[in-house]
Amino acid sequence: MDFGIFAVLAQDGITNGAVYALLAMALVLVFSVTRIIFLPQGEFIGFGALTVAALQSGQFPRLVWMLMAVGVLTFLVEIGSALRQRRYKPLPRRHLMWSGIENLAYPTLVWVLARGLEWQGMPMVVQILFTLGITVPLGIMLYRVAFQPMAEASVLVLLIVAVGVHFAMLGMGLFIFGPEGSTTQAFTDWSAEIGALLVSGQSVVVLGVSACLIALLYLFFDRSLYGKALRATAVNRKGAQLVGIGTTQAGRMAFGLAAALGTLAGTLIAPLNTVGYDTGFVVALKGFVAAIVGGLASYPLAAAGAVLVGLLESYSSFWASAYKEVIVFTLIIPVLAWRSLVSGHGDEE
Amino acid sequence: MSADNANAVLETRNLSVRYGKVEALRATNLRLCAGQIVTVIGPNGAGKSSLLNAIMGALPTNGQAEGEVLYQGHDVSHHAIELRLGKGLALVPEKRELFTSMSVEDNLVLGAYRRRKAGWSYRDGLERIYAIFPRLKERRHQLAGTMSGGERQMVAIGRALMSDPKVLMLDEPSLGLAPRVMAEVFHVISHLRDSGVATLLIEQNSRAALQVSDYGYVLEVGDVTLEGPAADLAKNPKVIEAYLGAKH
Repeated sequence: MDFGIFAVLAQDGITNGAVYALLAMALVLVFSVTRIIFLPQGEFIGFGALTVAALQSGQFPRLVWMLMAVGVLTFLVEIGSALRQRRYKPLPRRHLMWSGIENLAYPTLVWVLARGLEWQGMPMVVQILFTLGITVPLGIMLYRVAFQPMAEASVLVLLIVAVGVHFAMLGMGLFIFGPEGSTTQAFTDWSAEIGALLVSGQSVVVLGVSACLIALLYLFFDRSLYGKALRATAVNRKGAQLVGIGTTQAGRMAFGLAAALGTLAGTLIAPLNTVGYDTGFVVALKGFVAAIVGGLASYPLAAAGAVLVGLLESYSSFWASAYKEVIVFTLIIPVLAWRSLVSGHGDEE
Repeated sequence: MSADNANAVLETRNLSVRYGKVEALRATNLRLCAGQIVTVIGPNGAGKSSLLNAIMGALPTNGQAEGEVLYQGHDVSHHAIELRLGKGLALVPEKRELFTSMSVEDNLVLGAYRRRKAGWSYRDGLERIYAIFPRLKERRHQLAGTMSGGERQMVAIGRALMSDPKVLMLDEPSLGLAPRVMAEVFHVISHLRDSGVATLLIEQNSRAALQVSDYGYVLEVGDVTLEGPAADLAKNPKVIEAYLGAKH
């Protein structure tokens, strides 16, 4: 292997690693705040990318149907829980009204916008923002329907629920998107030659966007009150409850952010890869391996793990391409062995 | 202690707590008036922490509270913690439950998470806490987890005070503290009265607790067995024998 190939593989690995880093951060965030292993993360990658692709090709973004359906379901769940509590308190009218706006009126508005506007020629940034406007509420609704009723359950039970949600979403994805995948337009055709290495504009955009998002996340957690509240929930759940950071509110924020990161990761990979409704799962699993490197708790370690996963994948696809997934996922065994040696027992709940 | 209901800022009526089949607290009635310090003493496992957690709505998931918790005359026993906190209840739990990997100031700021209203600034809130605990101001950038036991207790009390409570509940504030630090904490507690905060105090250290309190309850295996003005309780032979030690 000469230096040229080495450098190309490195560029590829780091570019993919940047996307895995976003996913790993979302997984760390959701797990540390809610103790849920966020398996449905992968669906947001695929659904997000397919929605951007649909907008670009002038088709109706069919994810809106799913948003409307899950919205109705969420509203029914809200009504059900309000009725169950009516023994103690009057019907929370205001709360139900807000829930109606959030889960019925908003999806309808999105539908009107999706139908009414000509999305095909719009700048890609606007298309991505509109996609986020679909996926982020979808993430929050998922939390309400599937996880909020059992927020205090054990990690194992929450994982089982997450598996259920993953398969349910996968089924819905196949139903609305069909089995074919699509790609989106390239961000840029720019490229530059540095020595033997051809730097693609695509890689530069992916790296730049990922770096910006990571910096934004850092500022959010370090400076803003909501970010601090999420950190506080992750550090000490009981303490957070006692200062009034509700488990529900923190869970909604975590799911909204995770949905956004998943969607953005999807739009970042979509120009180079054909993304189908089920592509995201394997990609998200690689993010999960990276998150495990960080012990599902440390953001910097998770990001470093993501770059490691990206490089490992890229070099193993050169030397042993048939085994590339096997090699990446086998990484989890030494990492777990190392972590269990280093961290000892007992301080996790 | 007047029997007038309008005076009570906090009152429990037949409050009981059970964990599955185990009854931790039986039909407890207690009252707390504005500016009063009321202490509940009793041995380990008498249900003292369950009492405070039930009032705050912070029982563990396997815990079930029954009966009424009246805050300023309104039953709040089905409200979530956030709502009770917004009304003016605050609890400093036995284990402090600090955000250890965050700075002292962030811990305090998060104490006011429910208190974002017009005309209120974090700086005023923080200055008030720093006036009570000057040491916290010196250490405001330090991580809460690296502080000593007494300082952590101060952070915990400060965090609770940041929500501007009318009723402050303290669960074993002197636990694990050196005598001198303990005296400091009790000094602060006795001065909270001046700011109009009513304090419900739970203590193993019955002597110190009765000294700063106006009124006291003795809780034994889930039942209130004795109550009365703190000074009377401190003279009661039964209390002296069981909780204050013979060398009184």
